[in-house]
Amino acid sequence: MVRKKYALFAAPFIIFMLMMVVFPLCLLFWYAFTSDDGFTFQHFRDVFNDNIAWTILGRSLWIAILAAVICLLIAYPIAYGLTMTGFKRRTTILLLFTLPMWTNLLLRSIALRNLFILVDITPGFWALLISLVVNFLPITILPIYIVLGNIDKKHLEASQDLGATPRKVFTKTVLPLSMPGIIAAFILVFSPIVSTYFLSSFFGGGGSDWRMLGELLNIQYRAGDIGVGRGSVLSLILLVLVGLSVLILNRFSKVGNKRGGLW
Amino acid sequence: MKEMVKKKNLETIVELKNIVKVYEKETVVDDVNLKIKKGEFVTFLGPSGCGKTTLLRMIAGFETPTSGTIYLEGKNVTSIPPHKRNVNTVFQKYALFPHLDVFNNIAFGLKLKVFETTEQERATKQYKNKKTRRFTKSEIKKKVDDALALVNLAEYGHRDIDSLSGGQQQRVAIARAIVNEPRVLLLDEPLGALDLKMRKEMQMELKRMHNELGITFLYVTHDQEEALTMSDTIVVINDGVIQQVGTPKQIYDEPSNAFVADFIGESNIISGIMLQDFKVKFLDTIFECSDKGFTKNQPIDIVIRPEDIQILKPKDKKVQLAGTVLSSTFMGTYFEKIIKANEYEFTVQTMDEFKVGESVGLAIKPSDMHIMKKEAIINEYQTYARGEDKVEIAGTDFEISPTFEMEKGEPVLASVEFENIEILDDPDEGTISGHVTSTIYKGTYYQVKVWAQNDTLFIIHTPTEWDIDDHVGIRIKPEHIRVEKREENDEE
Repeated sequence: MVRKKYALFAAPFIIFMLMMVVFPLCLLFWYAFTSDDGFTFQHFRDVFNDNIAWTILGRSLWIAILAAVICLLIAYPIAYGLTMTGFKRRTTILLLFTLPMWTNLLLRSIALRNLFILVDITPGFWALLISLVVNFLPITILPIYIVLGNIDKKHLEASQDLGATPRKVFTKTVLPLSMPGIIAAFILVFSPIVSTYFLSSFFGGGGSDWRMLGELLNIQYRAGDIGVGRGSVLSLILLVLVGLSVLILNRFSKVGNKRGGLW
Repeated sequence: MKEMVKKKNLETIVELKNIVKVYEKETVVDDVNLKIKKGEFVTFLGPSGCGKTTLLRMIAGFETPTSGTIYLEGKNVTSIPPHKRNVNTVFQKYALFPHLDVFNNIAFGLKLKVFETTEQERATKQYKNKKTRRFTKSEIKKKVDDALALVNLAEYGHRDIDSLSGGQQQRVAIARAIVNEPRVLLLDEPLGALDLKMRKEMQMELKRMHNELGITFLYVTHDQEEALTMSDTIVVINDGVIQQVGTPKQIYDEPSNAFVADFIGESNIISGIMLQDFKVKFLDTIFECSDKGFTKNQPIDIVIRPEDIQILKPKDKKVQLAGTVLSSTFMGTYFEKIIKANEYEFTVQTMDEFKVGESVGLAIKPSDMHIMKKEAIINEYQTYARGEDKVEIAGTDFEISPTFEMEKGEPVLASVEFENIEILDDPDEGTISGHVTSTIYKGTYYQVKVWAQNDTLFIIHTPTEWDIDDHVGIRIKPEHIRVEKREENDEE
């Protein structure tokens, strides 16, 4: 009886999930597998034979990986400096780093573009990469900051006590213990970058040279029924790819640390 | 074998010289001098916050003393980082690495170790022209397996840390430390997180390992029973100062002051006066005792252990004090009784049964009365006059009427009797506020120590009990402050 009573509290959440997640997903499948003539694999055949789609998918993946790795390389030392040294104003500095997230994406991007003009960076690969890193750095810092902040200092002392030099303390203890944070941060930035639309169209130069998956989807969906079908197939492929990467990384994260992970 | 024993008795392995540690103006370790002999099981015993863990951490290298020197095997290691010291620590909450399994936790130190090759090894193909080397995989496996066997966890190497019970984690922590063959094994309240039964078991285990390994154990605990059962030598610490160093028997039988007596085991502490050699007066009664060498009528404390008091029928010839039984509790193998005699409530342990309310007689053998000098008989403060009628104590000015002409800035000695200071619940209500650091029942009153501003100690006699760490207010009536002139020390 009690269980039933409390089950009611979950209702808003379940309704929300049904409407916002399950229903759109069903739509995606519907469009991917149907045409005017009913059930079909035609959209899949089209997409698998479309070289341009594959090129853009591949490009989206490697740009996303590259940008996410650069974000990690910059974010880790920042988070480390904030948590592991006896730094006093850590929350203030963290706030400063995350402050850009509070401003409007369009305003931020226009400002960045003006900056690029000032230093002579033309739209294209570098502009795109820099904009991605600038935009996703704040969310990269947070999970690492949390995990590093939660590492028990006793573990570092134990490491030292057992003969580890400061460098070994980092490689043998801090780094493995912060692995869940690194992986969480990677997943957190990798998946939105893969499907980014705005940044790649704003900084990518407008042509097809640096077009990413988000733009392609936009083009597909605007191109009528056939496009919607193909776009849905592409979305499904993306979904599977991101899902797989999360699964693999999660497994990796579990080996790294049984507790305290975000995922 | 004989030679080894001889060596054991001679060699000092750890020496602390004038160790002082100050954290943000608070002195946690105050001029500690100590020599620890090789192969001994030494325990630092004291209440929480007494500085015992800080001392251990300084020996491990996690803290640097504010002043003083630490020697390890005769070498000054005061400023050497932990990873270069040949000591290992078993941490309070184990601090096992959650990302490694049992085997790799224990192998952690071995994998990092680089050591010089022997001449024999340099003759082999593998280590030709190599001055240093690391342990090979098979060497590490052998050592880890041996360590696992020593802590009775032989088959647990592949297990995850999370899957182990508290006691098993404890064993892994010990194995992880001893596998490195440290000169000294430091144990920081290692059994604190275990339940009573497990703790007893591990106490025996630790003692066994100490015997088997012959490594010097340095053990920190606040549990006096643990210290008494395991140690060769106990170092009792309070307020950052060593109170007594001795064997468990010495500490128990001959406590050097009221703190040790109160902290180690239960005891009755009574304030009294030493009339002359072998004669002491307390509770309005004159007793024979076995102590001498005090000045005539010197105020002293008498310590009597609960098991050393005899309860007799009131008409027995041997009776020294008449009393009434206030309460009686059966403790499994004996009764603990509270007996009131001459306003003092004695705690007595006895096998005999006496009813509550029954009139009884008490007798104490001369050799069971432990006489101790009082640490102080009055609160004294070396201070300065703040004006013609003002004197400063613990950062507060008191307006007094001095018996002599006082000049501003003049060095004076202010004193207040223990009885003339009042403790208040509300720290803001008193003229001074501070923290209670000890409270000892002395029969008709509690002796409470309060540390206030500027590291000033107030000893106060009060009829009520105060809890340690209480933040309290202190009120002193100006008319109770006596002031004398004093000569300025050159040291100031």
